[in-house]
Amino acid sequence: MSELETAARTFKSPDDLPQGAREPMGELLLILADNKRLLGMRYADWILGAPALEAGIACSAMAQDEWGHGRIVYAMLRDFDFDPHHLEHEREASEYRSSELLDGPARSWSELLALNLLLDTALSVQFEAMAESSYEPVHYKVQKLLDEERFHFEHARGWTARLAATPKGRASLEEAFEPAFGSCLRWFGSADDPVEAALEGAGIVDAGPDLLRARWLARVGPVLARAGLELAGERETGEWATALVPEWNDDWMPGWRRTDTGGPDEDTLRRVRGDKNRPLLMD
Amino acid sequence: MRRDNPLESVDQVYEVFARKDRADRFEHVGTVQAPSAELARVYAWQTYDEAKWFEMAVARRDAFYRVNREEAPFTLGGPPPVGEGSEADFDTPAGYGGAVAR
Repeated sequence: MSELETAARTFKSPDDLPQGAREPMGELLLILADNKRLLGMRYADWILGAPALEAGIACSAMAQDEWGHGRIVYAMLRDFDFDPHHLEHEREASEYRSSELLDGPARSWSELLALNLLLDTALSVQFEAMAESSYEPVHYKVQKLLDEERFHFEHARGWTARLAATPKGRASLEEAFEPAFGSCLRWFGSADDPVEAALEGAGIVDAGPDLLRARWLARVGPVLARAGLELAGERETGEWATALVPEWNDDWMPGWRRTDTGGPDEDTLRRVRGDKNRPLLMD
Repeated sequence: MRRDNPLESVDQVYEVFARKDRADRFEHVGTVQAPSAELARVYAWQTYDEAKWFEMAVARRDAFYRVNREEAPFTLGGPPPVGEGSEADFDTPAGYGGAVAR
């Protein structure tokens, strides 16, 4: 099939997807759903205890958005022969495909902002790559999600600038952002990631790992630079670049976009699965 | 409010306006406190989410010029003392976070 024919094709269900794209699509959706679910929990952790009442309300709104997005994506996985009930309530920690940044709670407001700015934006960049997806069920869901995410980004941008205004605040940003920055840079996968190559080939996403990484850098770079954090810089060409070179060593799992380090901690797992209310589960 | 919080000392009060439909007039729906207009926009959108707004805007309280009253417009200062500021008392401002004072 020529490139043009592939680009013009649309797929209404997983069964229409080209051989070799079906499984990667399921994997990408599970990665996104798990990240949304866990990120929502991290926002919720800060509803009480945020530095201002309004910021607590913002965390509550963002948590609701993330859980809503997670729900939508888990539901889509039904078409890929996953059982959403099992996915949401019955998995072990090692089965979660969420970023290792979400394995434990954000210990400071700066760590929460690192998730808000760096990881949440990484997820949005990945969703954006599906705004014109050849896989129709995703294509139709992405725009509303991205509209909501606009405010998440602005929340992160506003608070990063606010904390960067004091030396103490900037020091705490530096400490929290550096590890998260490296982790997100790697999250998009290596240039030769087989899962992503299959998705790009079928027109499900419009970009591969390197281009997605560049889009993410262009989004977060200006915010980091304005805060005086030397993680990324603007080239004369207007592109954003970083001196940091991500590494995908032996414990990196493509198709999971995380390291093989066990998954969310026990408390997180209990809460994310809803163990406390298990007797009340109806479906 | 937690007035002892040093972060809030740089916060400004922003008045929030919104309308549900293009044909509606802007209505004052409340206030938010924020360190920047950027965050005020986010807070306003996420706090006053009771309707699917056609349009929302925020303005710093100190951007308003008084016309006929000595006090600043809309909601003033802290909450009214207990026993005052009831609905019947139209001369008393609604206080922090007081929604539309009618």
